[in-house]
Amino acid sequence: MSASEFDLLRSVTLGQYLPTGSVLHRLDPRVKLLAGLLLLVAVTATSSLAGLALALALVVGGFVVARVPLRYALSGIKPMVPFLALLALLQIVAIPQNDLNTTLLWRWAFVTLTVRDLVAAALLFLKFAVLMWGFSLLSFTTTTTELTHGTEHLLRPLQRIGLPAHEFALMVNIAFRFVPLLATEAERLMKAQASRGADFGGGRRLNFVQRMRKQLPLLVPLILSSLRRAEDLILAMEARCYTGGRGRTHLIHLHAERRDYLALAGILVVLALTVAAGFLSADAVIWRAIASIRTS
Amino acid sequence: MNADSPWIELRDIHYTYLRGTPLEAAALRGVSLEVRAGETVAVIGPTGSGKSTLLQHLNGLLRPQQGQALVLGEDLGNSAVDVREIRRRVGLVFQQPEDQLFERYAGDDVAFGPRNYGLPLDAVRERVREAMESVGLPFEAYKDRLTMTLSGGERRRLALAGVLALEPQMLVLDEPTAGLDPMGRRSLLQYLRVWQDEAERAIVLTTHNMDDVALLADRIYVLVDGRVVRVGPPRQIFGDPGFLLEHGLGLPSATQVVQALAGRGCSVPVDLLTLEEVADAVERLAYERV
Repeated sequence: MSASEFDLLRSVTLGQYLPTGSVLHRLDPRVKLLAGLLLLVAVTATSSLAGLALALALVVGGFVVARVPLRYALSGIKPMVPFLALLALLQIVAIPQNDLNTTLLWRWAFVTLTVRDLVAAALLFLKFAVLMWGFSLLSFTTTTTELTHGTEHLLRPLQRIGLPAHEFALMVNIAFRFVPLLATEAERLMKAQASRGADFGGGRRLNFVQRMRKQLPLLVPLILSSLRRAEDLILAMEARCYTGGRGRTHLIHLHAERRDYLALAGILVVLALTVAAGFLSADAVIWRAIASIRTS
Repeated sequence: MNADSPWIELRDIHYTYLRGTPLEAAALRGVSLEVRAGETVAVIGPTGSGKSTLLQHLNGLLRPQQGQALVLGEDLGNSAVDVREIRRRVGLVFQQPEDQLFERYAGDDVAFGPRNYGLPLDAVRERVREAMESVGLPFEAYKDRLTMTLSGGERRRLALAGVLALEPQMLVLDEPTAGLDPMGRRSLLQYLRVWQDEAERAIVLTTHNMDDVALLADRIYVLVDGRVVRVGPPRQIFGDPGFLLEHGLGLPSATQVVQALAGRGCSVPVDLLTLEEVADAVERLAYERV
């Protein structure tokens, strides 16, 4: 058992802000939000490993420019690995990719494992990882205030069709803000219950049912305290005469500069290539190259 | 563990939160602390001085990153130690423990601990009865009350009962009286004293209420910025009010009265702990002047 048995925040990198003062931090939040959106579209749309590698390079490059320690940034994927592994397994079992063009690696009853299966699973894994890292890059470099302003600005055109841009932005902001709070709260509850003999399986692995049963006593106080926190927040906002977005002025006005447009253009190009890689069958070229190495 | 070795012995404990990430924050920078059988030890210090982090080392919720933690003869640095047994014998009550109740009925919440340790049903029931009675919540009257309908003070005592039901030999309490009304505070302190006097039991507590400290503590550790800056019996620590004020800490009522008297040229001893003692000293002074 390690000292971090209860250290939940340690593994939550998404939603943290790291004030390193890099050029990415100074970028217009709208650009960063748009980049996040584009990344989401591009990564979902592409079906090419090469394309994903490109998007991954973009995100990792972002970490370097933002002066975020790579090990810390990448470790954010750890808590998601079990889910991703399960998804990858489902992908292999439920959607078999066993046409004739692929090499069969392993067969057991009706389950077959082919090279294509492995590629599909890797694609799935990589897609999630790139997205998760991309969004954590966004949160590392952007304060929640900037995020709210950015979202609100970007959504403003949609106000005409009745979308409450301000309220929506605020909602997103609060949701983000609550993630680390909830993690801290959960940690406190786990520790209190562990002090009363609850076993969260420090050293041993618990099975799924056991683990779920341990979570149940955590959920009730966690939900109660979230509700309480939400009510406090409402009171605090109303005490300061908050009545929604109508007629509200802003302390910060966003101005996009040349470097913002340049950054956006650069990101657009890389992500366009990510999507294009799928159509250009870049992977096929790479597979052929690998195959030729193997045969020679 | 031999009979007169301390129950708790921390040596040069260091602890850093989120160690190895850009957000790391040092909470303890070399703390040594000792608790002997039957003792009451108070840890005082400004907010953020590492008090809560320190308490979590006493029952193995946190393992020392550096330094040594000996608790009831076991070295918590050793991962093979049965930490659940340590947690049973060293009962830890968190801040605002009433927020952590989760069962619908009061009795069930107290039973959570004994059940976790696999006691048979009648034994659990007996434990719950004793624990609830010992904090002034009569078992028959309270066991089927809805936890959410109890008052703040009752909920706090119920949470305490949840830990007492494990029959620990030591209690560790993080700000046990914070947020209670005067009545709630008095009764909680009373129950703690009775509990401690029943057998050879030790208490470690943190608090910002110096009257609690003056009333209960045999020894005080002053923690500032993750380091112990002073250790001593209450008379010695409160005998130097300037030092405490300098670190943003409060003073017991008695010390405040003594200071006010000294300001008017009345010289009473500086190391008085209770208002009773101050009254005696003032009375003596009055007789001398007559």
